Amino acid sequence: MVWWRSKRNQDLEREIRGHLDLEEEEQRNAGVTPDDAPYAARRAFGNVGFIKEVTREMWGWTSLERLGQDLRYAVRMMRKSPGFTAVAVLSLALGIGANTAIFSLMNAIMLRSLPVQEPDRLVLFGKGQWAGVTDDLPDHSWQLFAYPFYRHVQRKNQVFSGVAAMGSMGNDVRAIVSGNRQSEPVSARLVSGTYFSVLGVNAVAGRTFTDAEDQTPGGNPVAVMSYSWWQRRFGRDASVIGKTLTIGSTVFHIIGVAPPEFFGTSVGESADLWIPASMITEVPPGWGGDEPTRDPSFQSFHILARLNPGVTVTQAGAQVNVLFKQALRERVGSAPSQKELSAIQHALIELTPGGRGLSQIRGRISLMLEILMGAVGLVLLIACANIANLLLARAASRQKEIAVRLSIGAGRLRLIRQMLTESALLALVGGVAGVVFAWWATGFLLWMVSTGGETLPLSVTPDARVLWFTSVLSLATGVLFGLAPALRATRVELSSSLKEGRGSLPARSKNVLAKALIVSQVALSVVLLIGAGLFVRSLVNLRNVDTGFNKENVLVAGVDAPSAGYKEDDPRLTALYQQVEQRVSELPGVRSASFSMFTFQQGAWTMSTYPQGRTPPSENHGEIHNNAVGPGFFAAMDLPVILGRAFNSRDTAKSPKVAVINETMARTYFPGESPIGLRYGFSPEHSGDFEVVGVMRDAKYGNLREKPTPMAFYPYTQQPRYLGDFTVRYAGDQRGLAQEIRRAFAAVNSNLPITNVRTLAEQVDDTLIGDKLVARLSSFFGLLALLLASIGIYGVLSYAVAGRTSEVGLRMALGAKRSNVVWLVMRDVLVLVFIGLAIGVPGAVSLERLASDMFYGLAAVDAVSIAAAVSILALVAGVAAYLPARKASLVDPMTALRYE
Amino acid sequence: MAKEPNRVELLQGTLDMLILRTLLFGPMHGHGITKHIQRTSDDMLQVDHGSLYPALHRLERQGWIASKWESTDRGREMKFYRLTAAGRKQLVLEESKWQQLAKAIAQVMRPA
Repeated sequence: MVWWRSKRNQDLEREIRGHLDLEEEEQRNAGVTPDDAPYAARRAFGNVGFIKEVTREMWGWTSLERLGQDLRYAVRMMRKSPGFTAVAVLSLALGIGANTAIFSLMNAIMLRSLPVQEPDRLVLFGKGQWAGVTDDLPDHSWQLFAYPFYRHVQRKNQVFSGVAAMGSMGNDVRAIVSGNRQSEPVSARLVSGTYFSVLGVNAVAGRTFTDAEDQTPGGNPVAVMSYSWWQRRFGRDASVIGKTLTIGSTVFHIIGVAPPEFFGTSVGESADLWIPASMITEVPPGWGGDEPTRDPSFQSFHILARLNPGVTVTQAGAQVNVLFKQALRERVGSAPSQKELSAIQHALIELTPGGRGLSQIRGRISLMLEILMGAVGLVLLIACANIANLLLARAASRQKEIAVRLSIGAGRLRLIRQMLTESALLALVGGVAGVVFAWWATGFLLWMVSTGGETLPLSVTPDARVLWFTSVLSLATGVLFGLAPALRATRVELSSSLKEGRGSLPARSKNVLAKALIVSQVALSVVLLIGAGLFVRSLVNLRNVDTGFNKENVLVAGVDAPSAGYKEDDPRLTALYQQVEQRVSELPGVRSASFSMFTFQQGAWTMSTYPQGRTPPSENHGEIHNNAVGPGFFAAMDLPVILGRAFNSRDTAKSPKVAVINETMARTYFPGESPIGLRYGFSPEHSGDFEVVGVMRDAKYGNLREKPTPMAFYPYTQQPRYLGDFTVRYAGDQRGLAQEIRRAFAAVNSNLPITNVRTLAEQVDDTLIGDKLVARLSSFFGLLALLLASIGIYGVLSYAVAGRTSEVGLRMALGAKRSNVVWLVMRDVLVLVFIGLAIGVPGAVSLERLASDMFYGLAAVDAVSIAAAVSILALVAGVAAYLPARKASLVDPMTALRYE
Repeated sequence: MAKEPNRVELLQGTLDMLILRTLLFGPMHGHGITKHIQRTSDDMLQVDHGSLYPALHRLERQGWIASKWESTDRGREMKFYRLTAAGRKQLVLEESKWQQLAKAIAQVMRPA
C-alpha cells in the first residue's frame, strides 16, 4: 500500500517533470537563454508543490488506507487513556476467554468430527449411548446389537460401502508385555475386522487388522496399539511391533500403531488396544460364555456403517429395519409367541449421524455445557454494556473534539467508522487476551469434569472452528458495544458544543442510553445470580440427600475377577471370594468386608420379574435391579434390614435360593402384604425361583437423583458371577488399609488383582461432578457479573455527579443537608436497579422452569435463591451508588458554585 | 498565477469539456492539451496548470479518460491521455449543457 502510493507519487513527479521539460524546450525555441529557460518554464507552470497536492486530492482515499489511518488513531487513543483501555481489555478478555473455553469443550465433545475419512457419510445404529449386554428381545428403538446381526447387515445390505461393529464396553484387563514378569493394566476395545477400513484409518507403523482376521472365534490373537499408549509405554519404539502381549492365557501379537489423532470412536474414553471381536472370549479372559459372536441374543455391540455414495440416511434406515426384523424373526424361530411377534413389530433402529463418534459423556455433559455457554454469553453481554457505558462517558468528554472535526468537514459516517475501528481494535485485543486465558481455562475445565483422578482423553486444542468462533465473537462484541456510543457521540449540536466547555450537563438522550445499559446490566446480573443460587442450592440438596447407606468409613476396591483364571461359575472362584472376605475381615480396624457385583453407581443387572401367583406391576417395564453380594455386604454398606433376615453362611449353592428385596419392590410386587416367604422369578414359568427372606430400606443405587427403584439382592454363592467390587467398612483410620487389603488379596491368589481403591464417599461425590462444576462456575460467573455491573453503576454515577457539581453546590447553599444530597444522587440509580430487578427476576423464574430437570429438591419458584440474589445485588449496587453520591455531598458549596 | 488582460478566465466546469473535446482528436499529454486549447482559441483561453492536472486525474478516476506512458516522436516518455467510451458520452452531455447555457445567456444579454 505504501508502495502503491509512492509509485503513484513518482508517476505524478515524472508527468510534471515531462511537462516542464517540454515547456523549457519551447521557451528555448522562443529565444530564452538556456540558463533562464528552466526558470521561465517553472514560472509558466506555477507552484509545483501546490499543484501536486491538489492533484493528489483527486485520487481519493482507498478504504484500506482509511483503515490504516483509523487504526493508527485508535492506537493513539488507547495509549492516551490506559486506565480505560485496561478495564475494557480485561473485562473483554474474561468474557471472550470464558466463551472460548466453554466453546472449545463443546466443540471437542459435541461438535467435532472424528479424524477419519469423510465422517459425514458415517451412520450409527441407534444413539450409541448404552453400554453392556442384554438378551432382551428388542421391542422399541434399539441401541445394542448382536454380532451375528452385524454380519447379517454386512452380507445383505445394498446401501453401505462398509459396516463395522464395536464392543460397547471398554475392557480394563491386565496384560504382560513380552519380556516382563509383571502384568500391567491396559484398556482394550473389541472391534470388528472391518473397523479400521470402514473408518479409513491407517496404521502409522505396522498394519491394522482385516475382516479375514475376524472370522474364527479365538483364531487371530492380534492387537493394534493406540499412539498414546505406544508413546507412554514404549517411547515410540518401532521394534515393539511383532512383540507379544499376554492377556489371561492368550498370547496376542502387536501388529501396528494407530495414528496419533485417533482416540477411537468413543469420544472421551481412551483405548490402549484394539482387538478383533472374534477374540471376545479371551478379552476379558474367561468372559462371555460360549461363542458370543455366534449368539444372536448376546447383544453388546454398536454398529457403525459408511453410506454408499448417493444413498440417503432415510433409504439406508428403511433397509436396515427390514434386515433387523428379518434377523429377529429368525431368532425367535418358527413358532413365535404373540408377545414376541408384537415385540418384533415395535423393534426399530434409528440411524444417527456417526461422524462425531459415540459418546457416553456427551449425554452427561452437553446440557451442562449448554447452560454454562448461556451463562458466559450473559457475562459477555454485561461486559459489553459496561464498555459501552465507559465509551459513552468518554465520548461525552470528546464532544468538543468531535464537534471541531465535524465543523471542518469530516463526514459523520467517517467519524462513526473511525470510532467503530477503535472499539473493534479493543475487542480484538481483548479477544487475543481471551484466547490465551481460554487456553489455560480449558485445561482447568477438562480437569474439573474428569472423574476418578484421570483427565478425560480429549483433544481440546483450539481448531479452526474455535478460532472462527472467537474472531467472529470478538468483532461482533466490538460492534455491539461500539455502535450505540458512536452513533450517539457524532450526533452533536455543533454551535453549542463548540461554545461550551467541559462540565456541561450531559444531554438527556445520553442519559437514556446509559440508563438502559444500567437496567440491562442489573437484569442480566440478577439472572446469573439467581441461576448460581439455584445450582448451589440444588448441589446442597444432593449432598444432603438420604442415600440409604452410610458412605463414611468405607473403602471400595475394584476387582478384576476374570484375571483369576476361573470361569464365572467355577466353585473355586466362590471359595476364593470367601477366603479373601475372611482374611480381610480379620484385619485390625475392619468391621465388615464383602464382594459384590456392584456398589453405588457401578451399574446394574436388570431383569423382567414375575411374582408368583400375582400380576406383575407395569412400572419400569416390569423390571427390577439386581445385585449379587456376600454375607457381609449389608453391614459393610450399613443397609438396614427392616423385616426378616440378611444373608448368612448357611445360604450356600445347595440351599434354597433366597433373596432380600427393598421396600419399593415389596410395595409394588407384593402390595398390602408381608413379602417374607413369598416367591418370584425372572420368567412366568420360573416365578417360584426365589424366596424372599428379608426386606431392606430403600437406598440410592445408580445416582443421587433417582427415584426409589425396585431392587433385589442375592447371595453370590447362589448366583455365581464375576464380582467387580470389594467393599470394606472400617473403624478409625484408613491409612495403610488399602495396602493391607492388596496384601490380603495377593496372599490368597496372586492372580486376583485390585484395579483401584477409593472411598465410597469419593465414589458418591464423583456422580455430582457435573453439578459441582455448574454450581462453582455459575457462582463465579454470577460474581463476575456483579462486579462488572457495580463498576458500571459506579462509573456512570461518578460521571453524572461530576456534571452536577454546581447544582449540588446550589442546593447546599440553599440549605440542603448532606443526606438530602446523597439521596438525591442515589435515587436515580436505585430506580434503575429496581427496574432491572423487575425485569430480571421474572426472566430468571421462567429460565428455572425451562431447566427444572437440572435442579434437585427445589420449588418451581425458589424464593431463597431469588431473595439472596436480589439482596446481594441491591446491597452491592447501593454501595456502588453511595460512594460517588457521598463524594458529591462532601463538595464545599462555595467551591462548587465558583466551579463554572 | 499571472493573468494577462487580453485573456479570458475559463468558466467553472468548462475545462473538463475542453479537455474531453481536445482528446477527441487522439491521445495527448498534459502539455499538448494546454497548447492545443491555447492555439485553437487564438491564445484567448489560458489553461491554468493549477487546475489542469487535478482535472486530468479526476477525469481519469471518473473513467472518462485513460492514461498510458508513451514515447513522443522525439523519443521522450510522456503520459498520454485518451478518451474512453464513457468519456465520449460525457462530452456529448457537457456540450449540450454548454449550448443550453450559452443560449440562455445570449437571451438574457440580447432580448429579442
